[in-house]
Amino acid sequence: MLLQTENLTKTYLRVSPITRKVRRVHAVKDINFSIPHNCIYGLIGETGHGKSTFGRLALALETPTSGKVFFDGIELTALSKNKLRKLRPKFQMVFQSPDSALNPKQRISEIIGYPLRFQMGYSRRQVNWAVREMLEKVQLDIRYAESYPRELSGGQKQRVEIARALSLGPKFLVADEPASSLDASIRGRILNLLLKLKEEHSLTILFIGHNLEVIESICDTISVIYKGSIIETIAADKIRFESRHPYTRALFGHFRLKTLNPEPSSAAKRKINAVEEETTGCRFSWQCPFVGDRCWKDFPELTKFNAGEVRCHFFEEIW
Amino acid sequence: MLIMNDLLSIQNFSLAIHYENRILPILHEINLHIETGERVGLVGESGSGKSSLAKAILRLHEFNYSLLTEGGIFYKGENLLGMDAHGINSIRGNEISIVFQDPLSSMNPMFKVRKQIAEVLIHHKGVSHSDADDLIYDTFRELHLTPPERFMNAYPFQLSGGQCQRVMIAMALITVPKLLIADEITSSLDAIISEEILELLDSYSRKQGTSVLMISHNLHTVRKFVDRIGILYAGQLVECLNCYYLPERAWHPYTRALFYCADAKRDEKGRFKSIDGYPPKPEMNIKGCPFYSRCEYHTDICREEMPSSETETGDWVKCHHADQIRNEQ
Ligand SMILES: Nc1ncnc2c1ncn2[C@@H]1O[C@H](COP(=O)(O)OP(=O)(O)OP(=O)(O)O)[C@@H](O)[C@H]1O
Ligand SMILES: Nc1ncnc2c1ncn2[C@@H]1O[C@H](COP(=O)(O)OP(=O)(O)OP(=O)(O)O)[C@@H](O)[C@H]1O
Ligand code: SF4
Ligand SMILES: [Mg+2]
Ligand SMILES: [Mg+2]
Repeated sequence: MLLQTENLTKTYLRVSPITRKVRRVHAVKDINFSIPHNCIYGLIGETGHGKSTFGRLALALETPTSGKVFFDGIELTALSKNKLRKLRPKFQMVFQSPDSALNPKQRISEIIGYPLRFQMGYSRRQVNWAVREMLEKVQLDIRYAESYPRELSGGQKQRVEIARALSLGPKFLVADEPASSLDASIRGRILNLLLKLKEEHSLTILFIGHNLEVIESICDTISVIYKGSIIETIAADKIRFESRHPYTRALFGHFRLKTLNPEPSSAAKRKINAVEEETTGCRFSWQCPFVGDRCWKDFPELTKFNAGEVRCHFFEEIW
Repeated sequence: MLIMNDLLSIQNFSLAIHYENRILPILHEINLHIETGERVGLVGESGSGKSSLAKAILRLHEFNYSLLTEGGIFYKGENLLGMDAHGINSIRGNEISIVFQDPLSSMNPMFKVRKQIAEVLIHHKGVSHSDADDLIYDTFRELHLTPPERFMNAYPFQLSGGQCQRVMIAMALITVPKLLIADEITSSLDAIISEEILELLDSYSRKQGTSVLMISHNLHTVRKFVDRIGILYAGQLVECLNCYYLPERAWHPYTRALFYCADAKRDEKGRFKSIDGYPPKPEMNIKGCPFYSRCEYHTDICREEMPSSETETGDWVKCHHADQIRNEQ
């Protein structure tokens, strides 16, 4: 396994300014995850349910509240800052919001070139070459090398971000919605680039995304996250029709979810808040059409079924 | 020609950036009209100028560049390009709202979400602080930002990508604008929430008569939501057509190629589809069709002469061989 996590948890605390009540946001909760070598692993799920946080934790860009991360057998969460920095080029992240990831004061050639020069020790000539090559790979004209990020369009910035992450030749890449601002044609080329790197340089990718068609075609295995925990893991070619978790099935349009009532009764409101905060039951229960008494009480375990693993009390009945 | 029915009318609009002693053309003679209550989509290659057009409508370009504009952008018959700062400020965020492509960078990182939205409301609508809070609360709940208090008291950096996007949508809709410019508003949302937000926007725009200019790379979403769609390629609007006819009756080779790539399926070799080649560099000042070098239908005339269209209202296409393509169908 290239990447493994053990009970990875991240809880953000927020203090209400008026009541001084502390609210806990369980962004990532007890995730046990393993990604084998040389595959593209998909991570999907509702917005705000912890995908990006998990990505950052997996690359030790953030300190977890508890839990461990192993990269190629090395425990990242126990490494010193210095050792971690030496390892960094091996695992890279394509950030979701390129605008906040790219330094506005650096030119594109510097954004891509500085890490090469100072972390990899390339000569000036080599850097120039590498920058040129990377820009070409992500479909950007070489004239953008001398531009600043603000002079680029949204999709162009996203491609710079991809180029920056790939230029260091990582073994493992977390790609957080790398194609969300790209048109269908350029998206095709970027995805082909990722596939090629996987085949030729055995790159392993954790691909976070919302576009289900893209995820389905590029990934080998897909995990679905809901309120910070993995609720289903299944082979990509099976996810559309053979998934068992009600949320996954709703995501693929098999039925519509009970959504928030515009005027929720105070009881319903309390229930929602309870789910947001702490609950012993299944965190999906308030939205689930198949909900039963057990769901409110017990947190379901991840259980194997013929196509993968699922976290639902009634998965045998959902088909 | 000014059509009175039009809420927004972009006429022969060209935009260029004066940049380190060079002039970089970005948009070229755009003609686009949006009626009251109409939804218009804008799609096109990354870097083709969609966001630039959106920002130009509200004159939101960064100040460190000098812009050269030609033509006019008329809102209710008044040219926005010639308006003074006071005039444009009373329209911005009030009559015309915009949701930017990168929500995080368009929010002030120092202030809580509640404060930023309340400021817009108090400034434009003159509501009281507590009314503003109630309004924000309700809007957040409709956009599935629950519990609303949690998001109202958050700083922008504490939000996920999709949460940020919805906060921006709330900020844009809360003043009940006449025109909403939505630049990639669902790109960070999952399928379920994105569908619901679009339904919400749909009923909202019907109820309030809000016109929408929707920019998106997700062709399925745009197609479902808008009435008419404009296709931008290398700074030029090359085709405009009723969504109902897409993609079968799109005649421009670029539109056809784009829709061909849309389904994200892999071919026999396991590769994703894409269009070969690059768009022309803006500083090259090409004479002919901008799609020439990548087009499978091109002939010599395409290189020599810019294709044009007789009318630029209703459905139209700018391609020398549109008739031939139409006949082949
Ligand atoms: N710095 C922070 N402080 C407090 N809460 C945070 C912080 N960063 C993220 N969160 C919260 O953690 C949760 C998970 O966020 P995350 O960015 O991982 O979601 P996501 O799955 O990537 O969503 P999206 O698809 O919208 O990008 C969200 O509810 C978010 O509000
Ligand atoms: N300040 C600037 N200086 C130089 N070039 C610029 C500037 N702003 C935009 N451009 C160029 O204008 C072109 C159009 O940019 P725009 O942001 O409008 O594209 P877009 O269609 O929105 O693309 P995307 O889908 O990737 O967001 C791009 O090629 C960009 O590099
Ligand atoms: S004008 Fe010529 S080059 Fe341009 S799209 Fe039509 S056929 Fe192709
Ligand atoms: Mg995210
Ligand atoms: Mg844009």
